[in-house]
Amino acid sequence: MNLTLCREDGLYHPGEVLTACWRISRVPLERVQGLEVSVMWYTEGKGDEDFHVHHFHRQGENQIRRSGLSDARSTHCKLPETPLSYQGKLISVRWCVRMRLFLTNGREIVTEQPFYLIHPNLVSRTEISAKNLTGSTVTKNHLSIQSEAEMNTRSRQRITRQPSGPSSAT
Amino acid sequence: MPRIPTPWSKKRGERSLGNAFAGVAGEAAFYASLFLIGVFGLSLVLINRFAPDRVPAGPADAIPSNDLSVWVLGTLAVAAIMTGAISLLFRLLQVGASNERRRVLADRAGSIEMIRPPEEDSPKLPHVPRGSWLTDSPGERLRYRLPVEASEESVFGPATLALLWNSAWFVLLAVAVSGYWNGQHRPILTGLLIPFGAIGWWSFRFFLSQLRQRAGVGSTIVEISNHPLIPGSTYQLYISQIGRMQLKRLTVQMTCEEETFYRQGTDVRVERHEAFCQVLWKGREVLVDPQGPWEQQLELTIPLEAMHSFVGTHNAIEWKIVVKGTSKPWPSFCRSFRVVVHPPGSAQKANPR
Repeated sequence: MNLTLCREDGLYHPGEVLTACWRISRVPLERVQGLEVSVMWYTEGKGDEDFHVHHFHRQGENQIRRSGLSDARSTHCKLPETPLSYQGKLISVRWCVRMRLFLTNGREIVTEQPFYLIHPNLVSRTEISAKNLTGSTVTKNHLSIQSEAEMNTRSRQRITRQPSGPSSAT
Repeated sequence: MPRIPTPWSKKRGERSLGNAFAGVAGEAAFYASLFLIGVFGLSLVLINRFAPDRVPAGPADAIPSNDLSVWVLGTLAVAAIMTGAISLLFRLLQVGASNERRRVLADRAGSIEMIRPPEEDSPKLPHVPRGSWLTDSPGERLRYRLPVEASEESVFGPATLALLWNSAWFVLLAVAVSGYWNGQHRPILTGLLIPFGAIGWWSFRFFLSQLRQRAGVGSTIVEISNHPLIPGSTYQLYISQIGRMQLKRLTVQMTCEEETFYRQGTDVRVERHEAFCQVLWKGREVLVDPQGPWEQQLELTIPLEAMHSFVGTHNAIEWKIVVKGTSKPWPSFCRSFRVVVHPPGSAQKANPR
């Protein structure tokens, strides 16, 4: 499974339109039961996880059979104003596009593409702060977000969680 | 050699060893059994109640005969039926649905027209607290007076403990005294009255000390020129401390706190981390007099890079104005006034009140 975003740097501003494209290969059409693509945020850190699905796209078995798997597909949505991406000590707020492929034998294949929702003012300030290295704690949080964003230009695949049986990768 | 299936598994981080389907099947079987046991119990109760003559002769105490037993067994049976049925349905609904799909369905259910909030009340900044309760009260010097956060050290607990314990002690005392009057001496009870009385005296003194602490430190007033706060903007802040005390140190600061809730076993724990702190005012040997409260007008600038306030179910990012004082003989005090920070570029709307 290949999941890509419309911006290579993975940095988005509130209110911008995000387009996610995916392509599935080497999976027989008759083995696919459903597909879900979610634009969502979740928290990471010491506490229990919070998450919210901002945009949800689902294709059932019949829809997939009609459209086939060989062509690239896409979905798009307008990003909200908040919450912005954040990396703290106890809490991190992370945005991602998550795709789940459901197979007929009950297995699921999960792929995730992280991205960053950052305010335009914040990005320019971060660039300045990166040169001066004199930012406050809050600035450092966003600095680390930016450096991570540069590293994450390619898809990060968190592969395969299945209800039963051995794991399989794409 | 095939592995023998085990009814338990070990969770290691995000990975679960063992068969997930077996877990679902086990849960479903448990709730179905609970439901069936409830049906069986309720049937026994109903037959015994309405058609006792049709029950074949058996052991005398096989089926409860008195009213109390019937009600207890009937209640337990109904509870088992309801718990089993609801839990079984809930568990079966979760089969074949991802976390994301369940969340979307739950959100859609919450936004149907009948229970949806009016359009003007719907949040334009999702997961940012609206903070309308912070601007309910107009200030005397500046636009809004901020409410103080409820103190964790309340006097209510010590008062309840002292009252209940001492009431129980007086009841025991009355029993002991009446026993002596009637010639029925109770030496053990009389002996226990002494340590119980000591605990009662300690609880009363503890209550008095807490009350003294609460009453001794006067109220703190914080007013602000505008709200919610926008990063990069500057605001006026008015602080006033009322009371009669000589403070060794007084600090006013703006903090951003990460707050997270997590379960550890059966406990729910809270952890906080101060991600940002800006001291707005700091002083030593501050005199607070009933005739002349300590007052200060300050300027507050929110850094442009500041993260906005955030609230989730288990996690939050909170901005606060904190007033800390150290004094003698009164204890140190720390009062927090919550503020809401919006992301840059948000429009500020004044409260009509």
